[in-house]
Amino acid sequence: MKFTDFLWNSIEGIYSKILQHPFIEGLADGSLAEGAFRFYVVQDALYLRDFARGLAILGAKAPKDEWLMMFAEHASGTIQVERALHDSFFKNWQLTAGDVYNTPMSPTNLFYTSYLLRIAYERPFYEGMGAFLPCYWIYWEVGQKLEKRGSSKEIFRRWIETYASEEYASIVRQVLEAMDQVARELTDKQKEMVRNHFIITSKLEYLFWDMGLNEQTWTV
Amino acid sequence: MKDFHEKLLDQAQEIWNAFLNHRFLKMTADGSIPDEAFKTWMKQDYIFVQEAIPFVAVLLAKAPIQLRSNLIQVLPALERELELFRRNAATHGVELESAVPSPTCYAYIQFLMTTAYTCTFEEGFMVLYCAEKAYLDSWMEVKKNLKIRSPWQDFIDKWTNEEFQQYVDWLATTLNELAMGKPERELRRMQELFLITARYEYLFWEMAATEETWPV
Repeated sequence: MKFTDFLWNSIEGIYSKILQHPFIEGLADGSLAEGAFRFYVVQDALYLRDFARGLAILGAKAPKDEWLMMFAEHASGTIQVERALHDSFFKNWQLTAGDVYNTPMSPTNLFYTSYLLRIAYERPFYEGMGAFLPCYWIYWEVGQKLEKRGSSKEIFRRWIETYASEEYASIVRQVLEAMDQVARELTDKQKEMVRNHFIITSKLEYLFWDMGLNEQTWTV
Repeated sequence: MKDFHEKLLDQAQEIWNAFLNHRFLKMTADGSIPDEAFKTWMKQDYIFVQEAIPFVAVLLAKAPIQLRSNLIQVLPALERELELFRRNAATHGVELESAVPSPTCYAYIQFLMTTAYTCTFEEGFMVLYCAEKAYLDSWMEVKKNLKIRSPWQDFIDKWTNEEFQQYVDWLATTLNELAMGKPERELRRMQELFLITARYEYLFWEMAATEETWPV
């Protein structure tokens, strides 16, 4: 069994909860409130800025030059995706860059990005990979699932297309291949550390959808 | 002309009042806090204090040389805090070592560590001040309203004693010195971080009162 398959098996329960989440169901059947979707996309733009920086740190720690290049490209690509959100969704909603970047990060968003950055700075390269993988991978799986189901709303279809695209698929395959290569050198204890991060950030992925649906803010 | 730490506290007043008036603190003071709720708090704060050690250690790595000898004292002080938790856990039958961090506890810890790694020394130091000042004020509030000696008296004494007050004073004084001459943009960024830290302080009591768990 590939190490990445072993990782995916660890989050079977979490992943099925994600697919059943009202936010995801709402994207598919068009019932998701546009306010919730807008809230989520704004928070996602804020998230991606930190995610990109996290990828750059992973790149700096990469033992192989090809992985440095991969993460540096992905970091840059993430910012490009984030900018594309502005050119499409934010323009439609007449949200300026100021509107978006002056929005405070919601609690779950701050939790998730803090976790990623902490792990990237503090832990070994292979653990960082484990922590960052769910974001890449779950979005790909969810994108593919939703593309099959289709969506009645054009705006949701556009979002789904990004994560179901062949371009995105090749990025995810690249990082999964790298994780499997890295895992060949790891001890069982080290693999367990990777798996723990993978599980935590998969949970944070679920919580991120939840945050979107509930338009989560700070209670004080 | 107010000191920087006073400006920060003024700005955070709404959040401060929210946690000073939190039912967890009120119930601790009047003795009605359910044992289970206080024990939950103990387990989570034990985890938190354990992680405060690497937080301060990372700040130490970034600290100006003249602050090192004072900042280094915080580490054994945190170790002594852990000892206090262990002693009370033994007395009250609390299983500390097997506790799992709740979402709020975990989120707060990640915020501290990420601040230490990614932010400036001044920003990290200010976050430390905020957390310790919040604790001083919270436990002073409990002490003020305490009718009879609490089963949890050790904790009330720990965070209201002379030593702790002097430590928080030193944090404030040093913070004001660090903030002097800083550009407006940096001070604003520090204010944002102060408010986030204060919010986490409020949410920590809320987490204990509701015995928060992971929804997934």
